[in-house]
Amino acid sequence: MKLTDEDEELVRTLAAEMAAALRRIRLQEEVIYERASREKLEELGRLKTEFISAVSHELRTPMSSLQSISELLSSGKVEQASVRNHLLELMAGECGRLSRYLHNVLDFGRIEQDSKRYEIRESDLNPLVAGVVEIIRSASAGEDLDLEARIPEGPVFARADPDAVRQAVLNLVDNAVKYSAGHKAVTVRLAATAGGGAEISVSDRGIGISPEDRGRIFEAFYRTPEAARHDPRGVGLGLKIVKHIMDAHGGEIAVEGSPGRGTTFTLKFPGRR
Amino acid sequence: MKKILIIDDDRVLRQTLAAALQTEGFGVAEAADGREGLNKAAKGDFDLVVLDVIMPSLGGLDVCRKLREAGRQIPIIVMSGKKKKEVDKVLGLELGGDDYLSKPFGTDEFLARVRAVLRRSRPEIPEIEDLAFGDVAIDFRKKIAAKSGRELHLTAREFSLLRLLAACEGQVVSRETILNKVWEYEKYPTTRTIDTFMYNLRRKVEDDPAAPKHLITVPWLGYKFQR
Repeated sequence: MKLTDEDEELVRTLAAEMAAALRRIRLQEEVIYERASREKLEELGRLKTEFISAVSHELRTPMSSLQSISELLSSGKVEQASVRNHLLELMAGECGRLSRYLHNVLDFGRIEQDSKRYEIRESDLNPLVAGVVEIIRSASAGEDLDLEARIPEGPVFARADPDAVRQAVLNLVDNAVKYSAGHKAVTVRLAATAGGGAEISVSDRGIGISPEDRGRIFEAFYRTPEAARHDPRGVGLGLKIVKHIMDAHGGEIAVEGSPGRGTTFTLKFPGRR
Repeated sequence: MKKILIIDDDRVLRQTLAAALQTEGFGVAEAADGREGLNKAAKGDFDLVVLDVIMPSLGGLDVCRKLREAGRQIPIIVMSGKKKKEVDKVLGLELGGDDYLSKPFGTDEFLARVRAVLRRSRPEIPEIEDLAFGDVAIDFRKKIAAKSGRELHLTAREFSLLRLLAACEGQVVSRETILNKVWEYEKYPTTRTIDTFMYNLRRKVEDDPAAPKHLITVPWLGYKFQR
């Protein structure tokens, strides 16, 4: 087909219009991209500020307790041995709380930088879970807490990084105590599963988690509205770290329960493949 | 013994502060959240409330506000670890907090603040029913006063000031205490206003206002009443 001069003119005009339209689209894309990047940066900046603020706030209360106890004990005015011992117990518990908190914050940094490493090996989870229960019992002395451990007599082996699993279980038990009210009842179970795996579950009768929130509780900084109401403090890192730990183990974390009726978190360690 | 109520959901800090106060001879009650604290503060006879800003169910500033709304003028120390502490400081004091403690703090600072707030606060003006001195007779219930049998026209604030001074008979009452107790939470006048106020009151009740026998100025300290 032969094009006439008019056809050629029309094609040239259309091409020029299309080129102009494409340039406009590209420019718009660039503007949108820049805006999105800026918004993303601003959002990251906001989250960072909130995070630093929340961390700083979280540290202030235990720091007040530790400073107060040390000043009180060094004043020599606490005459009763029972009161001194009680203050020392509070101090030890608070050091543990602070240490766990800092551990979580540092771990979150490592997770963000993709530099958190695990030493996964065949490990007996029995003493590990029993140890966590003892730590929380000791730290909660004087609280209306019924902390039950259902742990088998013998060893329960799984391929695990003991320090990381201890941290995961501590985070879960800490949460179970924190998000319960009145007479608190928390149960920690350990069981071997078929194929050489293991499960650790932590159950409470606390505020529970709605089905809509279950998908978001493992996001960094996310706290359910009910959790924030129940305990206005908190950063929202604990479950994010637990999830990272379980992913690294090739395991799973399951959540059961409903609002007002408590929650059960189960850590599932895979068997030998 | 002064009684202090600590309202804080953080068990460790609450128990630590309670131990510190008990060591110093204070009576202590504890509340683990805002609602429990509000109930205890409303029912109990406390000389001071120490409360945390961030608490579940009912925050410290709400407790502060509700106590003031209920007419409780009990002194309050507000504690907070929040970053926006200046905002909280204003809120706490505007809502009727008497002092603000920013976390972290230790028992030395805490006890110093407690003592300072207790020192600043005095008991409410006692309910003295009547008073007689020289040729002056006052019935505080009926708000009637007479000198040598002739009616004396005293203002409500003059009745309050006389009752405060009479309740502390023989003791020096500082101008700050007079401001706190007689002017209460209204915009404070200057201490000079009190001097002018006292000058006028003396003209009503003293035989010789220039050489008062009953409403005595204690230089630099305040005033005292003597019969």
